[in-house]
Amino acid sequence: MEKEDILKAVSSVIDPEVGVNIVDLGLIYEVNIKNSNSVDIKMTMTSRGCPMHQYLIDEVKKNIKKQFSDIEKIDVELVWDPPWTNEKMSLAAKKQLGWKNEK
Amino acid sequence: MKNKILLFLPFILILLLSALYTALLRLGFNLPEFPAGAIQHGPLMVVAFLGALISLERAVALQLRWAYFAPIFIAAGSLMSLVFNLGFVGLVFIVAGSIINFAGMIYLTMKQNLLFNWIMMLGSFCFAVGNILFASGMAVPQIIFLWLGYLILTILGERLELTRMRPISKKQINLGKFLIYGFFSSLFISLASVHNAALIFAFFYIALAIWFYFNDIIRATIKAAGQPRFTAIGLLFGYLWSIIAGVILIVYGFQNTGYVYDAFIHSIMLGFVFSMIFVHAPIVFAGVFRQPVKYSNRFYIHLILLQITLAGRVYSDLVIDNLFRQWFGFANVLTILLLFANTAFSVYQGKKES
Repeated sequence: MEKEDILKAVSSVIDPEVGVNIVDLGLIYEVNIKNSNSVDIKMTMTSRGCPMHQYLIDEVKKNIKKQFSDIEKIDVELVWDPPWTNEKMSLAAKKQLGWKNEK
Repeated sequence: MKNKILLFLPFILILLLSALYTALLRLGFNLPEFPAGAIQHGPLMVVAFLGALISLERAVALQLRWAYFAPIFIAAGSLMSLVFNLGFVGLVFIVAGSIINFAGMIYLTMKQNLLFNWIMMLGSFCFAVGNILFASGMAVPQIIFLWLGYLILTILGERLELTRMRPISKKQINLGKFLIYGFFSSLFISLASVHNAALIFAFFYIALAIWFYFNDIIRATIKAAGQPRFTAIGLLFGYLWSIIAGVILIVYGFQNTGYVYDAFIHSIMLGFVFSMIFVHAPIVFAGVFRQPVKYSNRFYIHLILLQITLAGRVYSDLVIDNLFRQWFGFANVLTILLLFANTAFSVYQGKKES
């Protein structure tokens, strides 16, 4: 199990308002695989005033569990530093949300 | 109980049902009396139902124990004064709750010092001031702009937050800022001269609706599918109704009672605010109450019905047809109930599948 595999599982979590997955939105800051059955994730939200954080954390855990049933411990920590900016969005997300000529 | 937030749900529903029941009384249906009187319809909708729901949403986001006193006090105070007519003490609770809500927004803005939080904080300030004036005995039409301002600034702050995912020039942001501050100033001018303020309000509100039409993330999400597209269509209706409300205000001037007042208020409350609520109900249920809602195209039924019945209501108001106004108003109430039925069914479906 690699970090990329975890990110792939997490990218099934879609922000319901904008329809873009949270990995492409740049909300996932860190993925640490401690051992074969434990994962630590650091993620952020675009706004501190948004009440969706717990829902998204639950979804992240659910989607990892779905793909890797042998993982027993998933810790998701909500962090605010560094603050999210649109520079963290992937090119795919930007394209989906109408940015043109982005490299 | 594992999910304590769910304890709020029955109270919020009672406040909404009270607001809807008093709506029917205000429309002239011959129904048993309401303890606090039909006159509380506006306060029940804005202060009780929306005030409690929005402050709960903020408390969940802030994850601070004290912030929950805002929805607790607002809901308890509303039940005391606006539902059961138990006198002044409930109004004191409402004021206390709205000041805590404002304090929560100050905390949030200090933690994340960005324009959209400032806008929502200004909205919560309008709510607190409006509620203090309401508790001191000022009539609803005198403070209506502060209350509307609270809801509009809260929604526009949230929309502005999402525009950060869009490529927007600095020039556009500065224009948006100017429009927001102009709009905010009209809310307080209304306390000195409501008729002059109404024109300023109308101008900035229309301009803001146009600004958001061009800059909101809906420009991209309307081309998507499923829930993002549904949300975008609801917002699009919301901006359209904002323009209609502004035009009504410019053409007829501000009237503090009667048919034109009804048309103006409901263009904003149902057209803008409830269109927003209709499309965000799945997100609120998932985020605040942690009850995932399975999105369904069936949701378009209540969204479109809201637009049709509101158009009928506003048209009947403007041509002064009381009978049609009454029945379109009744249909508005049914549409809101349908929203809850549809959403509850989708929560049930979601649970069954998971």
